[in-house]
Parts: sequence; C-alpha cells; structure tokens
Amino acid sequence: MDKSLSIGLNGEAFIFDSRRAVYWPRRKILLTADLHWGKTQFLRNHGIAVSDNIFAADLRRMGELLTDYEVQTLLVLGDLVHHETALSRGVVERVAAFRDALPCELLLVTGNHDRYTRFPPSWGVVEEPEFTLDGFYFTHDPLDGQHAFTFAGHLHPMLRLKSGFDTLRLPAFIIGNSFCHLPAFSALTGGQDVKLEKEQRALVLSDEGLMEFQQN
Amino acid sequence: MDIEKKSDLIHEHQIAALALVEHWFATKGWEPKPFQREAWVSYLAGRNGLVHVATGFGKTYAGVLAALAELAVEEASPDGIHVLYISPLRALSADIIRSISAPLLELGLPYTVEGRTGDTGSTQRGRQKKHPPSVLVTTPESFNLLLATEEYRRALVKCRLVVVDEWHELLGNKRGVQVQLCLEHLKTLAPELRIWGLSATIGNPDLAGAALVGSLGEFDLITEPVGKEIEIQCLLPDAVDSFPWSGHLGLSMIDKVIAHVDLQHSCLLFTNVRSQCERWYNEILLRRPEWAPLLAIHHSSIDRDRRETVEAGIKAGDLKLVFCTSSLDLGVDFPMVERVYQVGSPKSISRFVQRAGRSGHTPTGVPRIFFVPTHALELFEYLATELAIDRGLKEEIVPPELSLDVLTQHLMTLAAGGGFVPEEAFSEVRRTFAFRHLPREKFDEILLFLTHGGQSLAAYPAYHRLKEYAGRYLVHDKKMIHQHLMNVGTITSDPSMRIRYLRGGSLGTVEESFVSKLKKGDVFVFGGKVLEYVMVKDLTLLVRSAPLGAAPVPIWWGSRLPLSSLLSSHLKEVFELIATSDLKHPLIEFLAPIIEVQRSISCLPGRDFLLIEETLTREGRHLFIFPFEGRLVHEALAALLAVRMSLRSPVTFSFSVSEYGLEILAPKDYEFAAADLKSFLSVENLTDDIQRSLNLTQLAKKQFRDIAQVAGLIHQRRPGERRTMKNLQMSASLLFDVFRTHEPGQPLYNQSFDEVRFFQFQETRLLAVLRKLSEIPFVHGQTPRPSPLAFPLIVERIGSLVSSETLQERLRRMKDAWIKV
Repeated sequence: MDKSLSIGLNGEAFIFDSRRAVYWPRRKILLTADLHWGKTQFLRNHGIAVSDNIFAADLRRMGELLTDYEVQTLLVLGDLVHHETALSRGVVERVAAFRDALPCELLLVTGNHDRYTRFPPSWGVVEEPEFTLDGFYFTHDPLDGQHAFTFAGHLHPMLRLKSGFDTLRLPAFIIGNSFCHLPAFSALTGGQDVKLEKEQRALVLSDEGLMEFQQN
Repeated sequence: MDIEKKSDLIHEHQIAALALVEHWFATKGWEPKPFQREAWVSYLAGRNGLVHVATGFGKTYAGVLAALAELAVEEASPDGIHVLYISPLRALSADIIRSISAPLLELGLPYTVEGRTGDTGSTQRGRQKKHPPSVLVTTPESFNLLLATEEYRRALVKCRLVVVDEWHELLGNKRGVQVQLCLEHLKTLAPELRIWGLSATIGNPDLAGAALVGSLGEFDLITEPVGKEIEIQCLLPDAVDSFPWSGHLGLSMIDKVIAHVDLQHSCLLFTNVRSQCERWYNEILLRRPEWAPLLAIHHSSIDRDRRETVEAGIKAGDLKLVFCTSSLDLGVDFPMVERVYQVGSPKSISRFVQRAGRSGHTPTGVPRIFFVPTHALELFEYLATELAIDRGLKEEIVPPELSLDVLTQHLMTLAAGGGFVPEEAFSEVRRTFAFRHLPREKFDEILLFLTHGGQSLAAYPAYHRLKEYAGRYLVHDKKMIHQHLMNVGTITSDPSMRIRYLRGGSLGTVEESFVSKLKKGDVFVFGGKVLEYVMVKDLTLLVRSAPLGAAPVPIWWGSRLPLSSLLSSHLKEVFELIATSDLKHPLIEFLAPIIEVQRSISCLPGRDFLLIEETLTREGRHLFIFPFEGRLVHEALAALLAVRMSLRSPVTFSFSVSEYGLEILAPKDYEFAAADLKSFLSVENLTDDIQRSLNLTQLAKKQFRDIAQVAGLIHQRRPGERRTMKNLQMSASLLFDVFRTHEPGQPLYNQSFDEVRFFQFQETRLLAVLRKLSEIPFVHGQTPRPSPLAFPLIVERIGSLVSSETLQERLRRMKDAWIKV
C-alpha cells in the first residue's frame, strides 16, 4: 500500500499523505483539519481518563510531516483546539516548544471549536474566518462554501467497508468534482459515515497506507 | 430442618411474633403455605435464607412478614430503616408497598413503608432523607445510591433485614454483582443484618444462596415439594412438508394463532425479539383490524408510560391479546391472563416455565402455555422442553465474577459516601462471592486508575476522580459526585434515539443505526403504530402517524440468548429416543417425513457421537458439524477453527452458525481430512488460539462499550446537554483503540476480552464441549444435498467469520468486493 499518493485537482498537484494531511508542493503548504489540541487534557479535567500519550503521538506525527515535506505554511482547516478551557499550562508549553522546534507559519481557518479561544502568542497562530488562494477555497465547515474548489474539515469523514460479514470503518479523504473533505488529524476523534456518491472517490487511511475507493 | 425442633430454639417473643403473623393471616382467611411458615420460623431463629419456589403468590409475605411482627413484638422504635426490600423492577414497587402496608395498617403497627426508585420525585426524596420509612422498597441502583448518602447510611444502622426479590433475575448479571457489593458494605453499617432472597426455582439454589449472603455464610434453603402444575401444548402447522425448515419469524403460523386465541379471556403472546413482536402485532392487525382495541404491544424500547398503560390494561382485563418480549417475563401480577403463547424456541426451560407462569393466577387457574413453532426443527426442541419439564429440571445460573467495571463504580459510590480506606475496602470486597478471588494487584490497579488515570502517572497529568487525604479516598469535586450519581447502574443500552410525535408525545427508542438507514418520508412500524419519518432533531426522531399497512420494522441489537445446555442435551436425547423408537409422542408421527429425510441421507444425531455432514454444492464444499451446544459456543468454535485452519493452509473459509451446529464453506477442491478435524477440535492451546482470533478483538470492542459505561469511563449521551457535555462525548470504540495503542495493560480494557471469552464464547462450556468431543467418535458422512439439520445453516448465514488476515489483506479483499458491487 502507498504511504502517499499524488493527485491533480483543478490543474494543481497535491500529495495525499496517509498521516492525515495533504501537501501542496508549489505553495509549500501542508493542509490538515480538526487537530483538537488539548482534548486529552479536557477529558481528564472532566474525569475521563485518557492518556496524554495520544496528544504526544499526534504532535509526533505532525512533526514527521513537517520534517518530511518542505513546509512554509501549516494551514489548519478549523478545530485547532478542542475547547477554550483545555489550554492548561502543560498544553500551552508543549505546543510552544513544538512550534519553536519546527518553525513555520500557522494559518488557522477558524472552526466551531476555536470560536471562544484566545490563542497564546507563543503559538504564533494567524486566524482567518476563511481563506482563498489560486482559486481554491479553504473553510472549516463545508456547508459555508458554494465557491470554486473547496477544501474543508469538520466532518471527520469515515468510510465503512464491507466484504461478506467483515466490516471495517476507517478515516478517509473524500474527493468530489469541486471539493476535498479532510479526515480529522487527531487520532482521538470519532467521525461520521460517508456514502460515496457518483464520481466521488475516497482515500481510505490505515497505518499501512492509503487505498483508493471510487464510485463510478 | 424440622420446623418443630427449630421452634423450640427460638425465644418467647419470637413465638409471639410468629403468632402475630399467623393471626393476621387468619384475619384474612388465609392458610399459610408450608414454605411461608418455614421462612418465618427460620428468620425468627436469626437465620438468613433463600426461598425458591415456582412463580406464584406469597413470596413477598414469606420474606418480610416475620420481620415486621418481630419489630412489633419488640416494640422497636419506628425510626430508621429496619427493612430494605430490593426488587429488580421499579414497576413492581407499588404492588410491593401495597402488600406490605396492609398488615402494618390492619394490625395498627407504627411502622411506615415507602419506595425509593429512580422515579421518586425530589421533594419526596428530600423528605425521605430526613424521615426515612421503617421499610424501604428500592431497586439495586437506588440501593447503591443510598450508600453514597450520609443520612441514609445513618438510617441503615438499624437495618435488620434485606429482602432481595427475584434474585434469579439478578444473580446472572452485573446487577447481581452490584447487589453483592452493596450488601457486603451494608453489613459493615448494620451489625444485626439478616439477608433473605426470593427466587423462582433454579438449577443451582445452593450457589445462588451462597452468592447472596456472602460473608454471612450460613443460610436456609426453603422450597416447595412440588411446583404448580403447568399445561403445555403445541400449535401445529397443517403438515410438516409445507412448513419451513428454517426462519424465526413464524408468520406462517399467524392464521393458526388467530383461529386459536380466545378473546373472551386475556392472553400474552411472547416473542424472543422486539422486531418479531412488532411484526406479529402489525400482521395480526392487518388481518383483524376490528380487534384493534383489544390488542397491545409491550417491549423494552417502548416508553415506560406507554408500557404502564398496557400493563394496567392487562390487569383490568381490557386488553385480550398482548404481544410482548422478555419485558413481561416478570412484573406485576395479571390475574386476568388465562393463557400464554410462546412464538419460537424459548431457548431455556426456566424461561419457558416462567412465561407459562404469567397465566392462571386465579385460585382454580393453571398456568397454560401454547408453543408456536417458527420452523420444523423447533418441534424437536418442543419435545426436549417437555421432557425436561417432566423431569422437573431447571437451568443453572452462572454468576459473573471479577467484574472490575462494577467494582470501579462501587468504589466511586463509597468514596462519595464518606470515603474509604483501601485496606478495609479490599477485604470488604473480597468477602463477596463475585470478588472472592480478587487479587490485591487488580484492586490496586483500579485504585490507581481512579486516582491517576492509569499506571503511568506521567501520561495522565492533572487527572483525579478520587483523591487521597491521610489514607482515605474521597471524591470532593461536587461535579464529579453528581456525574457519578447520574450514571450509577449496570444496565447499559445501545446508542439510541428517542421517537416522538411531531405534535408531542414520546413513543420510545430505536437504535441510531436504524434511523440512519431512513430518509425523510419513509414509513416504519414502531410500538404497533405505523409512523412516517419527518426529521431528526437533538437526538430525537420526529414522526407523524401514517396509514395502516405493511412497513419495515426496526431491528434492535439486543443480546440473543443461546440454547441452554440443559435444553441442548435434552434435544440430543430426543433424537436418540426417536432413533431407537423409545419416545412415544403424538408429534413423532407428524414429524415422520422430516425424520425420514434426515435418516435417509444422513442419520439422526445423538449424545455419544458427533455428527458431521459434508456436501458439495455450486457454492463449494460445505462441512456441517452438529455439536448442539447453542449459537455462542458454535460461534466460538467457528472462531477457533478459523484460526487453526488458517495456520494449516492459506485458504479463505466462510462460516455460519446456528443453535444446532456450524458450517464451514471451503473451495470445492478442499479436502476435510478426518485426522485434521480431530486436531482442529482439540483442547490443546485453546486459550492461545482464541486470543489469536481476529473476531475476539471485534467482539471485545463491542463488549467494552458496556464496561466503559458502567465504570464511568464515558458519558452517556443525553438530549439537550450543554456544550461542555457535548464536547465530552467520546465513543467507547475510540477509547478502546486508545487503550489498545497506549495502554494495553489497562484492567478494564482487559476485562472486555475476559468477558467475551467467558460470556460470549462461553469458554468454560466450550472447554467442556471440546473435552467431550475428544472422547466421542465423529460420524462423518457425505450427503447428496443439505440435510434438514444443515439447511438452516445455509439459509441463515448469520455471523459468518473470516480467517485471520492482516489489515492490508482485509482492505484488499474489501476493495475487490467493492468493485464487484
């Protein structure tokens, strides 16, 4: 199975990486969505025991991506953080250290979870309600945009696969004629089942790589 | 023990108490039954006990009356809770309170009786906390909550008797574990405590009693010499030739049932699953619309208010034919019910008898049950049922052990109710039956989990559900206490959506997965009503009425009970008796054609050999194995075979299972060698091979959902929650994956595997089955076409499994399947 696939969208080449990100080589942009930083902390604050190693693993994966690709801008399609009360000192310092170690521009298209958050200066977050570049439209909630080719997050799309009585449910990139929906970057997220319509394709993600499924 | 002799031992005021009870019975014109008198004497002698008698009247009085009289004779102050009465059903508490208050009022005793359940309003709860009643009627869940409340803990110091009603309903599940833990704690509060259980007859009353009384040790078993006679009959199709060989709905028998019911009297029609119940109601209504006012439907997904209306209708005799599931297996007494129908195999003798016992509650009445088969093979099950009932046999109940999720919940309750010291809590927990083998390490792991989140402290900064203050573990955070109290209980449910009329009025719940398949305007049947999907809002499905007609029915993924081992061994015996012509029964002649087919192409199964049939069809080579050990054991066998066969050769097999056996479907050129089969079914490496099964992880993930809910690892979703609460939503399957990756040693995570192995795969029963199989010969024959026994396996193909493959292989196979679609 491939770890990444190069796909042309609207005449531009994009690299889809099985680590839940898309790289745009010409613009040196790494696209991700729904990071939900601080979710582990938030759940622990409310008596749900989830290990911090999950957050650490998410950051590690992001670090690998930033090292493997030449990234000028990390473009996050919303839900950078899980909740405004989740930014404990530990979380803030950890992200700050991460940003120091692998510096790049961090552009956030505001998501519903980010609405009430004031980002620490040490994170260097530039926030925009939406973003357009080279005719591509970047948003959090895909319902917002009726524009040209749209990249969006928010949905946490999952594809349910079946063969006989065996079923698998895996995160996926969903690509249509005028949109691309990104899977949630955070491993600690659920998702919603997506039914592939005609002329849509899904890149299904597993630890072993990507696999493409199409609806003709 | 001899009653007379025991009477000599008891003191004078105990004799006075007994006289008071007998006096009150006499004023009612009742004659105490021997088991009642025996229970009173035994209680007054200071004993604990378990009363197990066939379902009928008089158990409540056997349980509490002596204690009330004892209070009266001792002239005990009415302050404090003297008697705690625990009933599994809150719907029953009104009846129980009425029964208990009758003697109190009529004898002019100063004691009060009240209920405390999830339904008790907050004003009454507040008042009750200040002035607790002398007798408190409650549920296992509310009992747990009492222990978290200081006022109740003080009031319970005087408690001299706990009665646990319907103990057979609790013993086999985690509610029973919860009760054991709470009783053990109550003993530390109330030094004078005696424990009495009331139960239907079961196969292992000694164990049931031991689990109930725990560290109190000794108890008396009290029973009746003979149970109430029951009348059993079977409705037959016109001919067995035209009757299906498989299926479970049984709709081909509808006209027979319509012709058979007698609407002069009331009757209950039991089905095994809710969707079947809905179908039967709908189909009968379509055929007999004029019966509508006399019909009703009752199952656990229907709103409680609506269920209670139906129960009142049955009680009053207004409803004549009520379609129901296990939701009416126990509950309020229905004197008007004259007979019961059971559609499809009841899977266990006890359940069949219990359902029969819902009828004939008049002085001259006899419980009467009519069995309605859904396919031909169930007629053999009927013969087996009759045989077992004639012999007076009942199933044994296996109580769960070491349920760490229930322990987690219980420790939170103790922490909320004043805190605990680990040393004491551990030995208290160890005194229960369920945790008598609990190792100290496991207890400490749970404690560590509650205080720090997990074994590695660094991975869980700032986590604390419990905090330690000078050796005592407490919950201080009010929010955390509230959250715990809201979630106490061990009954979990699948993710479900409420159904509500657009114009208002709640109907019940359906599973989300069913709703997700519906579109706006789709019509479906629920609660016997035809409904149209309007929209989904706030986890609620809004509907409006639609005209009567045939429409799809929701499917609920409740647990399906397997055929009990008692029933399956009798089933094999029935086949043996038929083979040797030793069974004389009018049904045999009726079944002759099917017996003849089975005999001519294969042979009848028996207890002393394993029947294996091999058939070649267009699909491939089928191997049918018939251990007759119930669906769950067959599923486990299939999972085991998948692992073992895939180690031998890289072929992909598909499996299907039924109550009678399992099928392996292999490519046409595959050879099933006799020696291989023996080794595939051997006991060796059983645990390791099951661990290796792909299926185990999937099942454990499902099981983990319940565990996570009980242990308070996840929040149950509630409509209209605040945003913060919504942000706390996390699916159990996600949490399962997190543990799998980051903390595979987590005790609750591991419990999900243990539960699958022991409850789903029934590892103990599986082991016994494999041992037996190693001792008996395999009779392996070729059949020209699937035999009557094999046929249902081909048709139903439920729960087919795959051989062990890597994720990559699975994905590739799915891609192949995807392209073909």
